[in-house]
Formats: sequence, structure tokens, C-alpha cells
Amino acid sequence: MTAATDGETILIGRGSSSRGTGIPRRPKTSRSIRAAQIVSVIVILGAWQLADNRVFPNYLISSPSNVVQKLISLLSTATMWRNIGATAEELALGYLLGVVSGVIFGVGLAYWRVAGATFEPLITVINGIPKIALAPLLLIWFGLGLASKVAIASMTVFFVMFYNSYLGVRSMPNDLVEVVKLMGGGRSVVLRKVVLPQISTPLITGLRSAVPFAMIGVIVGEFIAADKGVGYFIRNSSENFDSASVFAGIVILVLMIIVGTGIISLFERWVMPWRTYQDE
Amino acid sequence: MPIVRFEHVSQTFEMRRTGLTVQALSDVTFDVEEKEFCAIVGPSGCGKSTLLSLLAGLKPPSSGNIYFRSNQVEGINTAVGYVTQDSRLLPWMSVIDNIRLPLDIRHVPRKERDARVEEWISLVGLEGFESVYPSQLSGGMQKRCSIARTLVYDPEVVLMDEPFAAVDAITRTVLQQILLDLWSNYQKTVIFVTHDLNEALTLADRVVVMTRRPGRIKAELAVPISRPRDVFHVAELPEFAKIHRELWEIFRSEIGDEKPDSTRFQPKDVEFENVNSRAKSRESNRR
Repeated sequence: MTAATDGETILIGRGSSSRGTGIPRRPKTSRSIRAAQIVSVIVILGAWQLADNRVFPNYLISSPSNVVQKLISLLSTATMWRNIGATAEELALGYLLGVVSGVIFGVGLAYWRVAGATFEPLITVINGIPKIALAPLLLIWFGLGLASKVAIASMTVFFVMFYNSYLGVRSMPNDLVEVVKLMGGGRSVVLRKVVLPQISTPLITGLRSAVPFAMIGVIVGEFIAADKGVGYFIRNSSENFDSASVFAGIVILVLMIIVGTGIISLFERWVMPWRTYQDE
Repeated sequence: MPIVRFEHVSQTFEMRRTGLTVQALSDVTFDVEEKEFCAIVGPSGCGKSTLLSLLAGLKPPSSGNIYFRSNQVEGINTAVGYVTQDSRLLPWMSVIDNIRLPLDIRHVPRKERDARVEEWISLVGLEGFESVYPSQLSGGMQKRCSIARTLVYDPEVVLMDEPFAAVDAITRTVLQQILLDLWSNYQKTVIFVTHDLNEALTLADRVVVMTRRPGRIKAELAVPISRPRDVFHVAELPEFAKIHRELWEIFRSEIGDEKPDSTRFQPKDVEFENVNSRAKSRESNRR
């Protein structure tokens, strides 16, 4: 990986076990497997293309070539970009709000044992509710515009981040805290040098998995009631039996999630270089 | 007054799940003099590590007193440096940052701090590895880093809890030599816990022998081997063989003390294999 440019010293002592190397090394995908993966995708797309109008009518399944054409034409319209912009804004705001509130509550309850013990069962029960079922309610509360989508997305993200940070703090290894205390480190040093780096691992895991969750929240909100956004576009297209547009919208959503997760990965490499080394 | 004094120290633990109480230490009394290299040996589970964590103030003793420079140890004792069996390096910090951390905590002026960090990196032979993360180091190098991190802030007493148990035999010998050289140059007080009799005799001025759990002081033995010692050849000296035999005799009589109901003790050391075989024969007798 690009971060490992320290020179040949990196190679020395590899394979040694140590604290924190719980991440298994990803085996290199062999060439034949890579080829099989590509072939299988081509076969599926080919079958889809052949099935179009032969097995199923075009208005139901469209075809890969239609979807690509549709995608290109859509991306040259201002309306589509307005939809993408609206969804991106809802996604970003909902994500940030959910992350900040989830981390604050997670760390707070983990530190404050009494509150943690009190609220943990309650939060577990609430987490058991399919969050999407609450979406209509949030739409009544926050209106049909941006706020309701942000609310739904941040609610789903909140629980992901809450659990990751709560469990992260609770599983703090006491021996590292002891080491730093023996050096003479006080509370703030322990917090900065041990607690925060330690919980950054589950936090980053949460940050990554929260991106698709935020997207689900936003899209559901747009499905139910909206006047713009990619979710709104997909629902509208499906009502018009325009399946090529539906698929094009889905492709756009996937690309947005990939971009979102990519940003988080860059952020991860920036704040936690030691993890990148282990990941190699 | 010696620099460290254990006075009638006992320690019992309560197992969280089962509620059973285990007595780890029973009425331990001994002193460590300033600038002494004192080894504590005993079978696994005899509470020798507990002695160190009590002295570090990580927990209070169940009864008895521990004094550090005539002051009773209450709470974290930042005058000691603690090298544990696992290296306990902070995985998110490079080698140099790990070694620098205690100096930063103690607000050592920047210039002096950097000079000392550099000095210790070269003393333990980690030049060229400054910016490497602990997970990239071998076990022996992690140990070197851990030792440098502890000694760099010049603690009055250094506690070492089987620091070389997890590294291979050759690395262990090299690290022992490094430790001895450092000790003779810096004249620190060292309390070194091990279950390896050879290691204790190679390094220490005095060996404190502990019994099986609950750990008591069995004997104290001065090591009459002149310094500086050559770790690679010290075992060939006749006085080494003599003191080793003496120490081994003490262990043997300790094994003879075995009470029939204390079957939970599982000796890991090769020196104790005859206990194992005896336990086995007892088991077969029961059948």
C-alpha cells in the first residue's frame, strides 16, 4: 500500500505477532479467480441482455445496453444532477448528525457506568425496531423536505455508531492504561494516548458500515414523500414502468456509496496509519 | 532503610465468576537494597508477578505494608518503571513515539528529550527502526523498545516481569547481555521476576526463592559471581555450577513439601516435571 513507503525496514520482522494485529491478512486474489469473477459478470449481463424482450418484456427488466444509454443521457441533464445533489446533501447531513450523536452517546454511556447500565437495555430494544418502520412518523414530524430524510438517515447511523463506540470503550485493555499511568500519565494523557486511539478501530469500522445504512434511510424517506432526490427519481420511474431509469438510478446510488466509503477509507488512512500497515 | 520493603504482605483474590478465593501471597517479607539486582524465582502461579504489581501500586495488598523509600505505597507508584512479560507498546505509535511518550508526560525539555530518546534507541540497538510501528517488529525488538521506553525516563527502580520469557533462546541471551551492560553503566535498582533459575543466577546479585501458591519466601541466596559477567559464558564458571546446585536443592526440598490436596498447581517449568509424574502416579493410585 502507498502508506508503506518507509523503505526496506518495513520488511524486517514481518509476521511477528503483537497486540492489535487481529486483522487477518487478505489473501491475494489469484489470477484465475479474478478471471472467473469477470466471466461470471459477463455471463449474467449477457443473459440479461438476451432475456430482454425474449423472455420478459422490456418495460419490466430493460437491458444492460438500455441502462447504459439511459445512464449517459440522464447524467447530461440538470434535473438528474439536482436529484443527485439533493440525495448527497441528505446523505452527508444525516450521516454526520448520526455519527456525532452516536459517538457522544456511546462514549458517554460507556464512561458513565450507571447511565450505561440503565439505558443499555432500552437502547437494545429500540435498536430491535426496524428503523424504517419509524420513517413515516419522522416524515410527519419533520415535513416532506430535507429535514425528514436527514432525520431517518441519522437515526439508522446513530445506532451503528452508538454500539461501536460503546463496546469499543467498554473493551478497553486495562494493561495499556496501566502502562501509561505508571509513566506518570494523568487522565487526559490516558484519554488522548490510549482511549481515543483504541476506540478509533471500532469507530472506523462503524464509520464505514454506516454509509450504506445512511443511504437506506435517505432513499426510504425519498420513496415515501419527496419532490427531488435519486430515490424520488427511482420511484417516479417505476411508476412510469421505465425500468431502464430505475436501474440507472440504482447504479447511481451504488456509485454514491462507493464514493462515500472511499472518502471514509482515505480518512481512516489519514488518522490511523498504523492500521494501514497491519492491513497490508 | 532499603529502597523497597515488603512487610508481611498477603494477597487474596476472589474469582469473579465462581466466588472462590485464591491466596496468592502469604506473609511475604523482604527488602531490596538500592542499586541491587534482585531476582525473584518461583514456580508459575506463586504470586511473584503480584509482588511487582503491588509495588507498582496497581492494586493494594490484602494485608501488610509495602514501602518505597520509607513511604508506604498507596496508589500508582510512578517512581518505578515496569517492563511486563508482553511488551505493552502502544500499537498506534511508532518506536520513537513510544520511547518519547514518558518524557513528554514528564515535560522533559525538548532538546534533552530528543537527545535521551536517541541515546536509548542506540543503546538497545533499534537504530533505523524509529518510524516503524510495533506490529512490524519481531518479539525481541518489541522487547528492546519496551526496555528503552522504561529506562529512558530514569525510574528509581525497574521492575521486570519475565521480560524475556516470550523470546527465543538466542535473542534472550543477547537481551540479557544488553540488560547487564545497561545495569552496570546506570546502576539502577532492578527487581527481576523469572521462573528460570539460570537466568536469575546469570543476572542477579541476590535470588529470592518463593514457594508454590500461596507464595511465601522460601530462601534468599547471594550470588557470588564477580562482575562484569559475560552472559554467554557465565554458566561455565565453577562458582555458577555450585550456586546453581545450591539453588536447585532449595527447589527440590520445596517440591518435597507438596501437600496432597494442592493438586491445582500445574508446573510449566521443565525443572518441575517430577512433580507432574508424582501427581500422575497419585491419580493412578486413586483409580
